[in-house]
Amino acid sequence: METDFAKDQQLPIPSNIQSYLLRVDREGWLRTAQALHNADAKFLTLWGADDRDRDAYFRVYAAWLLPQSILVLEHSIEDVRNPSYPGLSTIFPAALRMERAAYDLLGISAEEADARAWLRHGGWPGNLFPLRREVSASQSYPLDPEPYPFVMVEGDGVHEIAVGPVHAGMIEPGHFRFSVVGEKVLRLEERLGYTHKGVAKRFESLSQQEGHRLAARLSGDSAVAFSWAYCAALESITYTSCPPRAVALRALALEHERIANHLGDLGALGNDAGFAFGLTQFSRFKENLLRANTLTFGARYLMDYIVPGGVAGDLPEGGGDLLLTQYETLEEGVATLRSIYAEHAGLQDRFRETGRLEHRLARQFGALGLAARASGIACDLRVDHPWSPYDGLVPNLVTQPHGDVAARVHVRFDEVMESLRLCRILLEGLPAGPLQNTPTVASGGCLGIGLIEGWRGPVMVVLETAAGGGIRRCHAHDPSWQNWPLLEFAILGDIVPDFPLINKSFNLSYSGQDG
Amino acid sequence: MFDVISLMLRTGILTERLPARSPESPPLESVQEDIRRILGRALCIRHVDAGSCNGCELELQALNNPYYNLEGAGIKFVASPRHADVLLVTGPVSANMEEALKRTYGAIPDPKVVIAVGDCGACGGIFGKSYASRGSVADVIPVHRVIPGCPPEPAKILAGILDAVVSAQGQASKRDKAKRS
Amino acid sequence: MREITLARQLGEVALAIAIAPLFTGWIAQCRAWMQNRSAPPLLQPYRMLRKLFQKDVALATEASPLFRATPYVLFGTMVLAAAIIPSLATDLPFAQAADAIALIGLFATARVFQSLAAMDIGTAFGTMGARREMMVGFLAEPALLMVMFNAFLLYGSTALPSLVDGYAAHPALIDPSVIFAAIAFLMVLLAENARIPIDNPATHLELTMIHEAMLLEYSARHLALMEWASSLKLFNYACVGFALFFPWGIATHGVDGTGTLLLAIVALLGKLAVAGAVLALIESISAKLRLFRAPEYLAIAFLLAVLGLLVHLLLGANTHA
Repeated sequence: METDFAKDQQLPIPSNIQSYLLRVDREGWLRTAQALHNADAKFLTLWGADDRDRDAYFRVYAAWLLPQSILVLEHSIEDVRNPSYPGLSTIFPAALRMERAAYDLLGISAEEADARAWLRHGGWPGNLFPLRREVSASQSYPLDPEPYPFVMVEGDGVHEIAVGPVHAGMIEPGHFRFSVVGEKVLRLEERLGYTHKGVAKRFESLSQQEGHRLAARLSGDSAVAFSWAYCAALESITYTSCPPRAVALRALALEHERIANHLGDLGALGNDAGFAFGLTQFSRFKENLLRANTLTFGARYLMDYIVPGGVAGDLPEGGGDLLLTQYETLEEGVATLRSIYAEHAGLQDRFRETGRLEHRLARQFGALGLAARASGIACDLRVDHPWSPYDGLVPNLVTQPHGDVAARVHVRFDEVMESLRLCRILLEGLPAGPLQNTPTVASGGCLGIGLIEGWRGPVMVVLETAAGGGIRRCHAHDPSWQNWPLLEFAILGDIVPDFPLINKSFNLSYSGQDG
Repeated sequence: MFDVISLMLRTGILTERLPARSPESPPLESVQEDIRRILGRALCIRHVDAGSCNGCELELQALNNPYYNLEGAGIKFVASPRHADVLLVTGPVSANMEEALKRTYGAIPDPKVVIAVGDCGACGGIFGKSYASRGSVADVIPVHRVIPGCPPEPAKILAGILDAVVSAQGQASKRDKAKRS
Repeated sequence: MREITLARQLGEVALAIAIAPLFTGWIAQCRAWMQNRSAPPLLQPYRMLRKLFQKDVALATEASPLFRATPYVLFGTMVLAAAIIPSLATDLPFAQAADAIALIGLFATARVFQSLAAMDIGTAFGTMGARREMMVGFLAEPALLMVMFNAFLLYGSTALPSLVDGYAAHPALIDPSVIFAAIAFLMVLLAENARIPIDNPATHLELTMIHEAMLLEYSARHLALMEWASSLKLFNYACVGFALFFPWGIATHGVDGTGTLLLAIVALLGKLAVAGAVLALIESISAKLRLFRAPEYLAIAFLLAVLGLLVHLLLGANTHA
């Protein structure tokens, strides 16, 4: 199958998972994309780059996940005054928003029907493309809000409900436009981009050795996954190997992050259904875990724990035993809560059949990560493309067929248990040794990829180095890009008051998507 | 139903007394007593995420867990800015959120206190000032208090909120005294 | 005599206004304990009200006079309702002009004004809240009426003071229809006062709000009055429940003296304490119903009340004309 993709022309890219680069022209771009679709490849991300200072081209890249590797297509755009490339959204629907974002940042057009701005809400002028090399990183522009044409639904008695960007609770900003008849939702349209902070541009002012700090802060609840992905990319480029103790501690931190997020979500889902008991119990467990994080890793949220070449600190004396007792209490507590949730009729009535994302639809839209697993798609990088230390761990893949809120709850419960099991194995087999091998400074123009299974799904960081230890281009991708459009389909057939529950069951990142 | 009740009973009351913030500052309990006296311990907070990475939100949500128990101190998060006394802002105010933040600020009735939480709210954090980020919250709306950290721990946030309210109240009573004299 | 009765009536109303927030505060405390957290002080609602009265009003520019008048109308109807519910004594001069049907009419008036005010500003949430409130209300009212008719069949009058007097005259009366009526009443109480399982008073989800959505645009003293009126509504419902099903301690007709009055106050506080704890427990172990199950829930309440009527009629139990 992979020979369809001109294997002899593929160049290897340094990465923690086997990756290849294929340079294509216009027809090759579309043809290969179609072939990838036929081969059931999973679309990962799309981004652009401004290389006019180097060789007078704009470039657009797209990455796919194949059974054995990652394939990146690179297409050079010659016409730099009106740069454009063939859009991929008819083949891979998830690409549409990424193309719109690429236009907002670089001005490269994807020749699509939907040309509305995605990230630019009027915070900078329409003829300015911030990621282009000539635009200064620190220049700011006066606000000039522009109307955003939402798709109108016509018919008798159809109203629009506009929610956001400021929401009633403590949640990130985003806008949701419902077209409803009474309480029944006919259509939901999202408008995101409110937390766009210019991360891509900011990367270019940082050195290679500090980029992980920005990567971690793209989406605070996936800090470990992003910082690991960045460090993996840098380490692959510089052929630095991470010492075994640090590798194990990295995985431990990642699993802790996964567990903490799942605990928080399970509590919040109970609370959103009016069952505050669930929130009390789960938030108690999450707080215990975060405090254990402080005692063992040095901070509640591990923003700066993973550093290029290793980890920032060691487990203290007795830290391992503390964690093991913590895991025991947690396992027991979560199992009790699981049976309480399962037997609570009112709660199950809210969870079952709500927000159903069918398997067929999830496949068609290229769902990834937790949302995909809850709709019966078996994909988990830790199992399919294991990188160190997961190649030695053999994690179990958790799926549920039904795709409703209850399925996403089940997947979270199962993953918590599985992560606890993995944490035990990691702790019991923790090798001794140093914590960091400082990577060398990479020369300019090297491309590297880091792909890590974060708690939402595959988190990808593509790093291109600049001369003198800087970063030329860094594209960080959160799996929320794939999964946000799914929400617009999961809500169909449900009523407006069920939306918060459905949204929380996905719990996608706004900031990770906005960048 | 009975398993729920039995777990409730077995868990017990978990709320902790927070430790003193620093040797010089008074212990939290006495600050809470000040609040009790001054604002009648009925504080309503409206939170706005102005572009944060979600780290600060997670710590703010932790304030509602039984250990920190913000509600037990008489403070609650409210849905409408018109119900609020305190505006809590996280994030470095992205350009896309500037308008929404200003409008929320305008909808809160006086007297109000604005608190910026996190390094991003304080000075833009690692994002700084750029085409997409306005930098600190103070560049967009007047801020009374900043709680630095990335993200700041819930105990620090709670202490910061109480501090901000006490000092704002102190300034208000100074103004009143000046008016009267 | 009449002056004393009038004074007592006004005192009862004043007491209702004064302790309604206390009842709300007690329920909040019980809920906090059931969520394994230490509770805010019992007097917290009073502090909230005092603070709100001192704040500036932030009014939307589109607000009409109806919007500004509604908090006063709401508070007024709830105070009036408190005047005709025998919480402490049955000698209520005001109650001669109004019976239980009129009470339901007062609640309906409050509901209509609240819904209109919610739609006044023109935001989507206010309108959604108003729409849902009307849906709950139009089903809850018949259920409540059926409960009242149950009482009519038992005691021959729909005036609440007469019901209490009737019970006092025949204290050993235990009728199976009362149980049906009591369960139906509890269900209606939860629905009408925006409690779980119909609505979550502590929710932060704007798309699920019913009662809270109608308050979003209010601030300062208007908000204080609206919140106070909600507390009063719950208090009133609780007192109606006590009058119908647990009237022990209420000073009945012709029984005078400060002793009985004090006993009545103590009894009322005790009953409120138990009722508050039970309410908090129901809320803590239940989840909120999906919105379209609310009509089913209220239909069950209606059905139970009708069943109560049928049971009473079929069993041919003693009626007291």
